[in-house]
Amino acid sequence: MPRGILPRGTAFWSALFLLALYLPAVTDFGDAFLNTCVLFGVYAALNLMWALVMGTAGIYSFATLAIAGISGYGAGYAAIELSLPWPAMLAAGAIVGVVVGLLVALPALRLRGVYFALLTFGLVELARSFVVQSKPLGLAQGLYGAPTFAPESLSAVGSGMVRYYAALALVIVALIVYAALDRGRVGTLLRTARGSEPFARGLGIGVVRIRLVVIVVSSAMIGFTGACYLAFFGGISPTIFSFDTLLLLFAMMVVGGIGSARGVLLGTALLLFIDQQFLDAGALRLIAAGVVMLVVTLVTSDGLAGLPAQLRERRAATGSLPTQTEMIR
Amino acid sequence: MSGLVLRGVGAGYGPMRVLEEIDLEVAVGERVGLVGLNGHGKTTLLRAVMGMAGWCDGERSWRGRSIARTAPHELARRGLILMPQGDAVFPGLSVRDNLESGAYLPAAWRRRAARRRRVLDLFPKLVPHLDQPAGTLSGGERRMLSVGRGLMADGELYLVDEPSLGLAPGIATGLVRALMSLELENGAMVIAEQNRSLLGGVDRIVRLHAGRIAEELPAAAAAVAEGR
Amino acid sequence: MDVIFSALSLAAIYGLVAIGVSLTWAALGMLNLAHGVAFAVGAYGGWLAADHLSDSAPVVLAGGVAGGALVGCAIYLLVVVPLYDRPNWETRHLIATLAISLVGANLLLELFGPSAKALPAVFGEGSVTIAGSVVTADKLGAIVSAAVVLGAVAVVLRRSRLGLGLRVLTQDSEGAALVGVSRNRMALGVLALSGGLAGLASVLLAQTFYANPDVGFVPLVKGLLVAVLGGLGSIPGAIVAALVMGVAEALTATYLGQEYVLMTLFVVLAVVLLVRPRGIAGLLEEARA
Repeated sequence: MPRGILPRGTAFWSALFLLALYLPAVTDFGDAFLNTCVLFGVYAALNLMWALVMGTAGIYSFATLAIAGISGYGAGYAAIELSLPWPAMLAAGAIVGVVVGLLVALPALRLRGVYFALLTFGLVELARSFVVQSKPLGLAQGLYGAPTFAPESLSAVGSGMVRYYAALALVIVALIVYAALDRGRVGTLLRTARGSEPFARGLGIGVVRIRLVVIVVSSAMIGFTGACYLAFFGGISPTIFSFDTLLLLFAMMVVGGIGSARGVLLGTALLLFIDQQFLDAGALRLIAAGVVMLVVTLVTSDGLAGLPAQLRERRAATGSLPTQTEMIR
Repeated sequence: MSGLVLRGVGAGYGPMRVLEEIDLEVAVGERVGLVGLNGHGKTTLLRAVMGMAGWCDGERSWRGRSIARTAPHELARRGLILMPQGDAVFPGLSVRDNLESGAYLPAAWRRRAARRRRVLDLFPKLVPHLDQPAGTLSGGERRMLSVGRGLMADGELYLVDEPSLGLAPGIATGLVRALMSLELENGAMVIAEQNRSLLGGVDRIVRLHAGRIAEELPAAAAAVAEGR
Repeated sequence: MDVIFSALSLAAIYGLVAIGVSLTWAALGMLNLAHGVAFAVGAYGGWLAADHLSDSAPVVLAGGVAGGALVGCAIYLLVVVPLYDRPNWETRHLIATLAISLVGANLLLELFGPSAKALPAVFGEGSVTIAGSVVTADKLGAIVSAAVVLGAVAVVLRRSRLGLGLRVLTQDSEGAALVGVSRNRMALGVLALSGGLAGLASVLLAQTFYANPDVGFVPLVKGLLVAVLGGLGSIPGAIVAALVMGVAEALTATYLGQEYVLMTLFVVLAVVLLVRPRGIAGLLEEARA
């Protein structure tokens, strides 16, 4: 294929898309595998948005699951109380996401990285302790009875298909949002600002405004995804706010590589596989996830997806300097 | 006995090469002035000796032992004292703590009280500010503090980077005179300085140009060149 | 009066945990998210010591401190040695310490099982009456010993050579190297000390929090909260913040109920940070800029 006619990576993404599209035709879907695929869709969408905030915008936010959970609970509660159909629930999720996102964005614009990280860290725990003590939200059992994508009349196989393609659609929407913010003008500006804030200010870039846009847009998408979770599984439980879940998703994002969409998808797939494959192993699977995360962090500077570039760079570095050169630091 | 020996030293930052093929020997007891225009490698040379340039190659040794692969804090332990350019003080610490930090290594720490008296005799202007954060000092006082901190240690080789930069002439002269009055029994000094008229006390002057040594002059000749 | 004593005992524990967080930040610019593991391993260390050696107070306390310090050393080897000075340290150390925290808690679960282990009451079962309210020996012991240890750490940092080295390192790592401070040695010392303090805290608190694999999580969150509230890197700030948080928690728990505690702590933190982005001591001299 001649270079330059299509954007870079077109072949990769088309192949991936076709594979995902025809996957149900070539494999025999068990319930477990279907659930894994749906979970992949939800996690991938969340991680893409998280990577947008943390990687592209450089904001150390751990609020992703808090926003997803709060939106999920909020939308689910509204849907159950008001007997809303699922599209209205998804919209409600996005709206709650925006509201929570705005609340999160407020300190983000003022606080330095680590301080903000902690504040968002706490938001998750805050949401958890609130939910497990709230009767209307189902205490520790969680909230059930939300409307789902698949109508009851559908056969088991049919509802499985609906859920599979809904999950695929969710990932695609998230990819589009990611690409729009990461590749376009916004992404370039954010990367410039991340490199040097004074420089960006010098250029007259309204860093604050752009960050606000990223947080709000990603939060809307996260809220939407949170509501989708309910539409997939019919309910939501406080596990979404647990430290382990947060860590697992974070591990997915960083193992694959926070800097690119394919890295995020790769890491999500890899760790979800470990997580689901060794479900019976209990603590061991989290140990495995942690070890993978640690090793990848120690070895690579930007996740598995960044490894080829890192190796290229190292080769280039050793090639261009005099052989006797000894790198200090 | 050989003092500082540099052979074929190159240094730079990332892909940029600042120094090339520097050969320089400074004998024990000797004071060498380093002159040259801005950006021609004076600071990089001093930092390269300390292992603090971005990267550095070539042979470097002090009193017969290689210093090429030694970490900066280990070099400090061996008596290499870099007095960096600019306001190299710890702004949040008091003037007293700044001075004492210069005597951080155990041998010097035991004698820190006597050292501090000696430094304060040299720079009496610091006395009234001892308990105030170094960040609140004036530029000249900060430079005195930075030099004073260097004098608190068991120094052997002093690497002084542009002590007069940005200072009023009177203060600069006093500062350089204090440095020149230092006993160098087992040590040596390399002092980078734009203003050659301050280098009256050195034994030799080395001029850097475009990252190489352009000429070496005995101090007297340098003074003549200055008067031209 | 009861409120004051529970506030003080909470403050004592939070102070011990938070100072470790703050010191690590000061020395390395590192937010140690694996600090909770030190707390948890400290609790198991105390339990093992009581189980295998003797349940006398010094042995149990030493077991806790040793367990915590060991985790500190492990963090040094696994995170600081391989990652410091490499690209993206700011992000990668967070990931690595989170990974250790994940592995640590689950390793404890795997080794010791999910059931909680009870530690002996190191200060005995007695109680005293002070100003009309009954204080258990345990609580009083925790308050006094934590205050003594915190005071000692603060004094050492302020007066000793090593303390000066650490303060210098906080200010400017290049300048620190020039005066001969070894950052690596300092980092190892600080991580071991932080871990040891967390281990001590967990043994002192063992009558409230039994040793279980997840025991480190709440102290980690609260320790981080206190350290940040105090202004990362500032020891006096952390101590003041521990007192503030202790009082806030005790008041909330007494008058509103335990479930509102964390919320109150976050509200306090959010309010303080919005007014002063670097915490209580953010304006004090030595916080890492």
